[in-house]
Amino acid sequence: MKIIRFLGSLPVAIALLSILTLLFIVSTVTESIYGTPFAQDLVYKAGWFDILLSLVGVNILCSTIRKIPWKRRHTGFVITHIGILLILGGSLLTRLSGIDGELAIAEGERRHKLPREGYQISVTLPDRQPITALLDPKEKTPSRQIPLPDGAGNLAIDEFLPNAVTSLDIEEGKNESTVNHAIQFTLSSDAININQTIWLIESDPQNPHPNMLSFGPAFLALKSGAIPLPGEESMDKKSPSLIFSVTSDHQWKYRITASNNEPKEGALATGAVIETGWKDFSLRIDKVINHAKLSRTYEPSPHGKGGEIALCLAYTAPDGKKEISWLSENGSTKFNAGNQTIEAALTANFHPLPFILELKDFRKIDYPGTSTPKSYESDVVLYDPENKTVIQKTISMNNPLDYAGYRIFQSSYIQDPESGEVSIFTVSSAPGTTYIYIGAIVMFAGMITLFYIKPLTKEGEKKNG
Amino acid sequence: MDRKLLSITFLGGIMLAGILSCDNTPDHLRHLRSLPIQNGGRIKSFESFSRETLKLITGRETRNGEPPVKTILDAVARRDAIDAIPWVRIDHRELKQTLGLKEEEEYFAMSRLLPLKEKVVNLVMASQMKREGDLRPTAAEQNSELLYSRMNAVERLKSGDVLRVIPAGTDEPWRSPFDTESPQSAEFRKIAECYAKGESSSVADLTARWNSSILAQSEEAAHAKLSLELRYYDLSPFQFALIGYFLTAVLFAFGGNRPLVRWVGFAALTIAFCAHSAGMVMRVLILERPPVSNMYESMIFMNWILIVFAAGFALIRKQLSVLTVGALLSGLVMTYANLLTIDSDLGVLQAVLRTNYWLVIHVLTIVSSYGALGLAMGLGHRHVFMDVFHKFTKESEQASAQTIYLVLQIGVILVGIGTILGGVWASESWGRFWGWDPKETWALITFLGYLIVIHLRYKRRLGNFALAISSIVGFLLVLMTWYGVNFVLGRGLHSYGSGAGGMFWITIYLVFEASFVALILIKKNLRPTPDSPNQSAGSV
Repeated sequence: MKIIRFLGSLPVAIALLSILTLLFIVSTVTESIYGTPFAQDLVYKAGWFDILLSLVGVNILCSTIRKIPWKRRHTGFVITHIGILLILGGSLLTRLSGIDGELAIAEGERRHKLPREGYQISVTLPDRQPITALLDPKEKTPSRQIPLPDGAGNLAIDEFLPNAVTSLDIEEGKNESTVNHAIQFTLSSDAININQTIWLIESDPQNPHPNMLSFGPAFLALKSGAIPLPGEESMDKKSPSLIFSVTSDHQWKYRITASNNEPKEGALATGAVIETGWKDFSLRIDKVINHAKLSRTYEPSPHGKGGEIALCLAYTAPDGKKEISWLSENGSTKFNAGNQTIEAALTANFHPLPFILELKDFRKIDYPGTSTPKSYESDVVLYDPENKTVIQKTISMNNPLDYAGYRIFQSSYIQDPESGEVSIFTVSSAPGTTYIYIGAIVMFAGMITLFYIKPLTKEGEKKNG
Repeated sequence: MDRKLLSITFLGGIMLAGILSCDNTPDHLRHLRSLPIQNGGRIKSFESFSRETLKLITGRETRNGEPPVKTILDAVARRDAIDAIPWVRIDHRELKQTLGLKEEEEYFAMSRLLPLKEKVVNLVMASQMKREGDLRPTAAEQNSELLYSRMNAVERLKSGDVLRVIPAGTDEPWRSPFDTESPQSAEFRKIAECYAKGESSSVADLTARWNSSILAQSEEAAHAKLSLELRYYDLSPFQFALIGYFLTAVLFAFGGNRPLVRWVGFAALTIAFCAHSAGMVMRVLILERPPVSNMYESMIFMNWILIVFAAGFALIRKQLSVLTVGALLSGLVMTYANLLTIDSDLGVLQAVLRTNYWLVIHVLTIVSSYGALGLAMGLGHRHVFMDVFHKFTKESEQASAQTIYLVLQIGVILVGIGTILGGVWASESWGRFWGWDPKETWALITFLGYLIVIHLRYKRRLGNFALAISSIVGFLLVLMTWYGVNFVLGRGLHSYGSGAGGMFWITIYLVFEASFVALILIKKNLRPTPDSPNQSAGSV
């Protein structure tokens, strides 16, 4: 066929090779000037780039097909170009179904979710399967519908701010039945020049732990009722902490512990100033609220950078009632759908791994007398409850753990004074790699044939008549 | 006439080699050279340590023509005078301006620089923060990092902190005699004291005794190849090889057909190649790893492979000119390698690069491809020169072009395999075969670029002259991949920052190439004569 002859012709091949060469020169220089993420978005992750590579594949395929029926003299050519097709095919396979991400695990922790780029909105409906919608923060205007099953109403993204700054306002609510304790206080120190105003809230749909905070080495918390705070029982009695406790009839108390003093306790009064015993820090109580009404406003960040993601969901119930609500990362909100509630939550995107990885111990060994790392290694345990498998291994540089098509590499680490030693792993699944390896071997065998095995090339054929 | 040429070049060569390989250390410091010290993650000789420290601070391995160990010992023995030594090198004009220093001065004393330390630290922090934020630091900021490490080196010398000569347990940091109090500390300090007082024979005795006791005390020290290091520096095998290669090129190029000249040329080449190989073997033995970790090592391997390819092709194609070109190129690369000051240290590898045979195979393959493509580039220069000055016969022109094509074939296969191996290494080390990192992408660009040349030549669309020009221009891609990605682009995993060293010479090279190609093309099109071979289709 004429079209195959053309598509597989030498001029087209040379043209494509030249375009690729020039393109990559431009892309690497662009990367040098504008940075890697820009170049990645502009070229390597762009749709047209995939199309270009596919054209290369088409050219190679056609160049091979047009020589059918293949003679002996075509051997080198065919082998080489089939090899290239295998390489391209393998890359495509990894591009389409490969997974790549970083997993940071502190000693003693377990993980089974692999963080990925972007965010997701999970909608929980009563009596039905939860729905997940993926959100790409690079989308400029993802005002779109989130498909809900019939009869569940209509959910859409009204506004989307990838870089938002929030301001939180808390007032005493008028409704006496919704109890939500909150306290605002200021910690100041002249010596360290700090003057920090802090809210602790009993519950906040946009924050999983609104009642606890670390302030330097000190632990601040609001305890409502008799239920102990997580870790309170085992907390070191001498480490600095400030705990407010309030009873159901709104009696407030404070308790301060410091490293070398006896704990201080007392009742609270708005405007009171209390000496903490931590260096020269003093504590002033600003507001005490029993029925907190939270209102947040979200504004785009002034420079378009920094801040956090925030989006506004608009829900229309089956009976026509409209509600809007703002969500920030790890926040959730509830909508009324008649006599049922729908809950929507915004979380970072993740890929569920088919196993759980636990870090038992991390070790970093330096070259002696330097701080240049010689090696780092992690003792891990991998659990696969479905297949009842437990694997123990030490993962170190260049020594990964392979499981279920995933490879877990030791990538890096953080030594964090707060969380201790955190080992960072790269988890990747690249199904096309084997085909790329095979393709490469085939391609080079073909090139060697083309260059050096005369009987299997055109000239050889001619010489032998 | 040729006997005179012969004797002059030969004697000149031997004299130069002799000058370079003499060790001018005074007797009483002889033992000091092999004193073991823990530095940069390994146990090395005091000689290595002195050279590296001087190179870091001053940019050169020796100062004022003195033996390196003497310069360092002078500083250590009279530490209160260290700040007065004008030895900290600052090259960058803008940096000197920013710090308020005289631009014409090259070397500065710490007493001038210490008041500026805060400024320097701010520049360094700015540079690091910009880099972390994926922005490009200014050239002054980047150069401040080098200045900071130079000042730091002097400070550590002054405090004695860097002198880790007292052994400790395995993998534990050795101790400095100025840190800790012990009989051993006192023993070492006595050496410095005797030296300061000028008691040479005591210095010699004490140092000898110190060395034996350390070797007995520490297995690591006994295992380290300290005397091999000394021999490495004294013999300067790479300088030796450099001279030999140039000598060979001169003899082959201008010696005509006389058998005596040929024989001397081959002798010089063989000796040079043996010295080159010996130097590489020494590095491997001292560092206990193949020569794959930095720019310097890749250069001395590239020109070694280049000679191997040149010898092979000269033999197969029966063309001495291939060897002439190869020897000249190898000498030039060796010269350039010796101009780069920082990397030629005997240093250890980062964690991610250790114990990985994929790394070794990948680097050796890629650098070998640079060797082959470099040879092709040299042969291309010769071809176009011979062409436009009508020195070819029809047969010799055809033979020359065919050789270039054969060398390009090897180069293309090696750069292709090397690029794939880079992916294999990445895949086995951190799970991602290809990430479009600039270094990876440029290796691919080189492969694709030469692939265009191969395609066109294979299908008889590229004449001999055009093939030679292609091999010259194509090498620019190799240079970009090998050097440009690291030092010009300033981004990606392989980046060492931009403008760091060598840009001047690269610019000279580019200017030379551009002028050469322009002149050649002009001359080619000026007077086409009937018997000058042109665009004939070459055989495959």
